[in-house]
Amino acid sequence: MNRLPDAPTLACFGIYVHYPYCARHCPYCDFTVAVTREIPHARYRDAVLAELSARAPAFAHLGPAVSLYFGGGTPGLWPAACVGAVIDAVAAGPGLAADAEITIECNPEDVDAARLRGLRLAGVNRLSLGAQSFDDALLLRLGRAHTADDVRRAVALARGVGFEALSLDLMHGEQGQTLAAALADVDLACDLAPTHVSTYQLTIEARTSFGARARRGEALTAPDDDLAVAYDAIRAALRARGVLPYEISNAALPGHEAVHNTLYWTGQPYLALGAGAHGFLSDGRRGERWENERHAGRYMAAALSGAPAESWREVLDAETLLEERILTGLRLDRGVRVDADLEARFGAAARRLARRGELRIDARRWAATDRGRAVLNRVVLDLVSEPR
Amino acid sequence: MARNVRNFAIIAHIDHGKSTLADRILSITGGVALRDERAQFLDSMDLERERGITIKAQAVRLFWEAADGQLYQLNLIDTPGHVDFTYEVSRSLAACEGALLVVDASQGVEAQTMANVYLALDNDLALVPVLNKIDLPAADPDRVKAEIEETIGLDTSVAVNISAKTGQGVAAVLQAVIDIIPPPEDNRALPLRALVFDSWYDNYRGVVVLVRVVDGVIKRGSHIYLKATEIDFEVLEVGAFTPGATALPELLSGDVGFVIANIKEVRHARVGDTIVDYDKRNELSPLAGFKEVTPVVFSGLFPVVSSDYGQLREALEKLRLNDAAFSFEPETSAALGFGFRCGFLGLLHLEIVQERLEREFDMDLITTAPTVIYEVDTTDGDSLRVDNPALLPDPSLISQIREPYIRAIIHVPTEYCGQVIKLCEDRRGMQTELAYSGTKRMLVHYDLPLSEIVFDFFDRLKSLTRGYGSFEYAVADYRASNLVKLDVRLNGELVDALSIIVHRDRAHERGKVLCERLRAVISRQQYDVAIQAAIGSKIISRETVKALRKDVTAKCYGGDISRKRKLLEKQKAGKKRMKQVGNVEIPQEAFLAVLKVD
Repeated sequence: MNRLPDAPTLACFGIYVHYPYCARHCPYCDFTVAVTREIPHARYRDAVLAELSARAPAFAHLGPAVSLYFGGGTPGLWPAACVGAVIDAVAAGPGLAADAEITIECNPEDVDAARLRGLRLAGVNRLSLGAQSFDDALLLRLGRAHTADDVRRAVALARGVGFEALSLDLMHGEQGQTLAAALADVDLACDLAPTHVSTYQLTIEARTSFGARARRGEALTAPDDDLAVAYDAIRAALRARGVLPYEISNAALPGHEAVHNTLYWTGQPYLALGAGAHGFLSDGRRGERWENERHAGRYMAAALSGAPAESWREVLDAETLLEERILTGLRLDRGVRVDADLEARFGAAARRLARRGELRIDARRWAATDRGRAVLNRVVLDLVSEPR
Repeated sequence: MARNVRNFAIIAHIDHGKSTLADRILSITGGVALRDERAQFLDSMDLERERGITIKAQAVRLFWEAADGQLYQLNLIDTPGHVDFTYEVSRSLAACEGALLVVDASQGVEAQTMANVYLALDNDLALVPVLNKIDLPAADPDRVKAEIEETIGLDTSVAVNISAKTGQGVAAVLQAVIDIIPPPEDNRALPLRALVFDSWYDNYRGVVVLVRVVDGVIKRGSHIYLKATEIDFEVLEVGAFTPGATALPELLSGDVGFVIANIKEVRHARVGDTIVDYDKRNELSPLAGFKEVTPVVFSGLFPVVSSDYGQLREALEKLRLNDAAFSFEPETSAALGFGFRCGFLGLLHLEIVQERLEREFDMDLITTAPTVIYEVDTTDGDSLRVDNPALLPDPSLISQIREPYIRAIIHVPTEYCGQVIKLCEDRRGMQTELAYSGTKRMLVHYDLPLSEIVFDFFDRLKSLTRGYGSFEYAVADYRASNLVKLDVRLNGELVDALSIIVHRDRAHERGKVLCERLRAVISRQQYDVAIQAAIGSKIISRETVKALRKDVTAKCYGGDISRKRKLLEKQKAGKKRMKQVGNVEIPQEAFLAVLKVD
């Protein structure tokens, strides 16, 4: 974490590449994905490279990128050569810091030794595996195509080709999962010695098949009070295994906190490439965020023509940027770094929350207490609702 | 010689087709050359169209060539159609010689029809029965005619069968107006006396006053005097709505039209007042029937954001320019801060004012539970009028409390009679009469405490009777009752704006339901919220809203922070509409939940 400065000291940026293609739709996912028989790998690569050329100049003043993240979708489906072409172009263009974190997300069922070796050789140094659970019945209910053994096999293969930084995603909160099962998942994940674990709660999004089922009255997630218990227990279990929680949904071995996601939480700029990707550029006083065209075909056509298409772009004023620092910064256990602006705008409210035991205040930071973290949405709401 | 003038109104139960008929009459007399973009011309305020009711009366002057080949001037006066506005209806009717009694040919006579018929008969109006909606399969005009003869004693041999929707029979209605309704008396030689039957504020012209000239003549330049408000004005313009405003040289005895006289507030031209010549202000007596309209239902209006207080005052002042029946004065609540105690003619009137404030003035408001005025005798011999439960003296200082009672007439199909009686008994009613109206309907007369009907009585009646029950009331008198103040405490803190006055026998039950309701509308917060109902220091009921244990989104957002922020902005807007009392956030609806007890 010490590698990363806090906002508002803006000195670095990261690059996110969205690969929208998947072999199938997951019933809970509402990210930009496309399921197609023939994935146009090369054309998509060319589009991303074209977009990189078009957008990189705006980020040039921020130095070489400190992270490059391939997310999706299922970027593990992209041939290693395509991934390598993007990494090379970034290194040649905006530049990559010597210790840059280069991550790719993979599904356990998609990896084999050859592919992993290819990714490693292409320069990828961190693998994020969508394990979700080690309970095959739950994996089935979540609409996943892999089993617990696939996860173990994938981890062994990754280690075999030299991936040291390895993150496992876990999901909890599905209605049929017991607390014991959720904790067993944590233990089984830790048994594989990952450097990083993300624990997401199953969240029902409107435009998904789970969303449709929920609208018909089906209870797909556990009751909130149970989730509260599970959430605390999972964090404790991770800590007990030496994987230390550092954010609402993330834990890591010390020194292995995710560089890329920390950019999001600390208000640093990120260059976005690919269909449906979100980019952000800010000098701390004025920022802009945009979403690329979500439709893969239209995205590629526009990017290849040299004029990347966006589905929206918004300008963030200083006040909104301050609110976002609260919104994202308090997700980190270490909290948000306080400066005069933050103090002037939210100081009174912060002290009120501190008296309530939901915020911890010291000279440099505001951080959620355990109690505050459990109701972080309310804590943030109370802070940003403070009249100007 | 009588002039070729007829002044008439249309009276009907809501939904029986009054506005549609008015619209039809306008279109066949050419009053509306091209059908106006608004469906129903006479209802001019947006709110009225949305609610399907007419709040303000208006008058339109039309011309029609009758069967005798002569041209007649017809003044159609539209009347409000809700119990809250009975007085305004009576003054509109006083401006007429006759009225069309529109009855739905399948629904038959309703309580509201009856009440308006009585108002019309009080004003000696000639009535023309009109059976509407005869195009509907369920229409049975003969049965309904028999019902009209039986219940009202009206000769239906002159009744006209129409469909206002298709236009069938509308010309025959106009002929009946000319044949049956007498022309106004021509008293133009007498000194001026004109009845004010409506007035409203126009941004460009000031107050527009609708008048019926009874005696004499009024014209531009007349120096007039209003008898009740005792203020004089110079007339700037007279005219009629045809239907657009048309200036005329004068309005003669028998005419209906408008007067503009540089009047700034509607309360200076009150409905029912008499206009006379300034020079004759002392020698002429006013026309009969003027009544000071006084609010009967009171409610506190508070800005959600305290700093909007000044803005709320301005909005209320502007509204009062246009609504003489509504009153307000500053009120301070320990829980809600500075606001206004406002008086209304009834609950509909309250809702209209509240909606106009929110819509036209963009105010976020908290409305406290409506209450009536109680008469309180204290032990030291004082007598108070209390329109705010928070201001009720300590029980030890009260020797008697009296509350207003109403006389209600409920008209209901026989099969629902039992439920209606039960509803009235539950609301502390006393039956005074029960009579058949025709063979299938009953007239149920009850004396009821006004406080029991202000909130949801009408809604309950409607649902119990599947919409067939109708209801009319008039405030009758004050009667002594065993009443107590029920307080609400949230986390120990008294929330004065939630206090209500209830009958002692019902206090426990009400306290229990009240706590349950509040528990349902107050959302979980970061700590337990204790809700208590108390009479004095005695807690009679308790509920707890358990603390929220979890509200955190452990989800992967990627870089889409904007989405998360937009969700937060939505929540912020929701939170803005909450009122913080002590450490508890109370949603607006909590303040009205108090009265919903069934």
